[in-house]
Amino acid sequence: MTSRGWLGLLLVAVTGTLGAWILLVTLPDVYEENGDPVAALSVGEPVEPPKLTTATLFYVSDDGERLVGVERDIVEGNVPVEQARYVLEAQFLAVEPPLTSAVPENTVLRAFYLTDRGDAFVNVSREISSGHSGGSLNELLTTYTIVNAVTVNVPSVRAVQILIEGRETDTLAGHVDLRRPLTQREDWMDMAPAEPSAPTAP
Amino acid sequence: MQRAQLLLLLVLCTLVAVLHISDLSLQAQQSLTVLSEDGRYELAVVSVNDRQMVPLSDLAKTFALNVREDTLADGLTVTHRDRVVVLTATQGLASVDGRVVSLPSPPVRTSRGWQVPIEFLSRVLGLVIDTPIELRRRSGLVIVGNLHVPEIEVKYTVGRGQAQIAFEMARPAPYTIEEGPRHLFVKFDADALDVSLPRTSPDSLVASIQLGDEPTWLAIELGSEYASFQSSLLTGSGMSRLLVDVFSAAATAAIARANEPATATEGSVSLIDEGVTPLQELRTPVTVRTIMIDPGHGGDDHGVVGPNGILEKDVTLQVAQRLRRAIESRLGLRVAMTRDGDTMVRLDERAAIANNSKADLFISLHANASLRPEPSGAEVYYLSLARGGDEPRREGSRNRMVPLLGGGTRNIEVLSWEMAQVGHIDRSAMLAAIVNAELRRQVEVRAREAQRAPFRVLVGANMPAVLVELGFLSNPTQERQLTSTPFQEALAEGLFQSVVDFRARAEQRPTTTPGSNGAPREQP
Repeated sequence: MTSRGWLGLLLVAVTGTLGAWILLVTLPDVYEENGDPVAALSVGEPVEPPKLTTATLFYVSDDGERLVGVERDIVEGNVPVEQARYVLEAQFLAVEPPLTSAVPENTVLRAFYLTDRGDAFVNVSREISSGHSGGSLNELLTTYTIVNAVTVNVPSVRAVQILIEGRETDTLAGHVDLRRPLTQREDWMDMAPAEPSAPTAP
Repeated sequence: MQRAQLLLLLVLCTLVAVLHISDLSLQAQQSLTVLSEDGRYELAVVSVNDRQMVPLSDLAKTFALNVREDTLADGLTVTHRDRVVVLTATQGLASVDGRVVSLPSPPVRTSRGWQVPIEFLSRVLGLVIDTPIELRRRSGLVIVGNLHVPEIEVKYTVGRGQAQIAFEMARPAPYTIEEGPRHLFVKFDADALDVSLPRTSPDSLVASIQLGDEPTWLAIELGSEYASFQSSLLTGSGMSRLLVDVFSAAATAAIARANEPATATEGSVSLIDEGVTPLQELRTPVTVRTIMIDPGHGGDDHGVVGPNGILEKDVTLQVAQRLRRAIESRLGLRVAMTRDGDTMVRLDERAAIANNSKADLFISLHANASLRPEPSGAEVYYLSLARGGDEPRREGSRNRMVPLLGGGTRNIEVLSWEMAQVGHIDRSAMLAAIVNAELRRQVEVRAREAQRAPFRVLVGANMPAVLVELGFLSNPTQERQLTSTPFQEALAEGLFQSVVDFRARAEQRPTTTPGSNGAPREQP
């Protein structure tokens, strides 16, 4: 076969492959995405305002020794997992004085899982550890802010395990054992509602 | 153009050939040691496609196998007496008298003949020769027959005037210890040993730890300051631990003074004057002889940083050193520390060091922090487990029926390392209450009584254990106090009196001068 023949054969092969790819892969995706143009483009449909519920969030007491419960209106979730997400997102929001959050700034909720046994897994960003100021008391308050916020507001959650960036972790700052789910503790919790302040509901 | 195409084809062929060859690359590697009643010999291991394999021809010679290649079936037939094994070159399967056994890879033909994966030894060869074959990958041992080859991991820790050699065994192996002019010989009653030795550098007590003249002996070469040794055997937690402590002359004298009344009642057998071999006994820690102090944090882990830059890791170490001096000089007890410098020690290691040192008390020292500047005062914690109720106790210690060789079963108590603290909670609570009261005599202690918290460092401690927060570094006034000598001495004194008080209660000694909780008070 001459060189022109080789080139011709190569051209036919490339063109055939490209055509097949467009026909079998790309076009079905395009049709699928636009399969229901009416639904996709619905405009002006009335949007119902989200239903709110009252949740108890936890912040550091004035004397710095306990957690106090503060009631907040947050979006109501349809299922426990959704409810827990809304609670934690509200809990992680920055607060203004006089409230102080035991959760380090910039900590973000990555994911929330709940097992059939009622064990919840709260996956948070690394700032919860890297931004932690240390000390047993601080670490207990941070840990039980999360554990109590979930268990108090989502009754189907029995225990909470904190994960950092999706991984199990020993401790946040060298003290509290986070390798297993923790149950609610009232040792560092004062349930008397404090003055409401202004964290924004999600 | 045709030349270019030919050239391209040639390059491609070469590439494929190189890849294929490298895929089958054959590298000489270490050998396996085969132990049998006939003796010990080496079996060459080669690496084929990153998999450890042994030459089938070597096995054939050693175990009287007849190997026949079946080119039509693309496989091998291995026979031994009336047993027939069929191996195929395409699948990781072997048929032993019709019974199919899986292998991690099929046999591979190399320039040195047929190679089979090392798992062939335990999974197939044992069936063929009708003798159990155990493959121990870590040590590279192949044990043919019912030989007793205990796995022993040797650990070495050295302190001031004393050192400890721990022989950890999955199953107890009878032993004797003989003292020579320059060696201690630990002689195990076994067919061979599967030993993992520590890397040690010579010191004044122990020059080296190595295999002895006989294959079941271990030789501890003694250093110039060696004066005496003691040994004890701990069993439980699914393993046995033979501890050999060697002492300098000063440490020997101090221990003799401290433990004279209690030695005879302990499971630990003193060989110094007896000249007898040790007995296997279960040691019950009813006396307090070894205190483990754990200065929190260290190395890159600074812990809390005070408003004026004082680091928690420094404060905890300074107080720990003061406490050690007080206990050693005034009580003559053995004190070990999880760190004695600015080093990072993992939380797991801290409990392991305490357990391996057969410590009778574990005191972890920390400094606290709050997001508000006001909180101050010391606090004492002991362990609470993640889940409440009796579940941890049940999980921590379970009786299990295990089958015995030769038939029958035996009921054994299994204690999970993770739950080591569970069995000591009551004593830890007592220790925490004592520390709380004794510290309150010396320094400010927060209003709360001793508290429970799920602290990681306490979980694996197989002895009464507490975590003491010495004060709040986040409080500027306490930060200054925590670095001052008088305050640190006061903290050390409170902790020292706690040890005295706990020891008296644990040993049920009569109290002399009532102190806190009716305990005797030691004077500096």
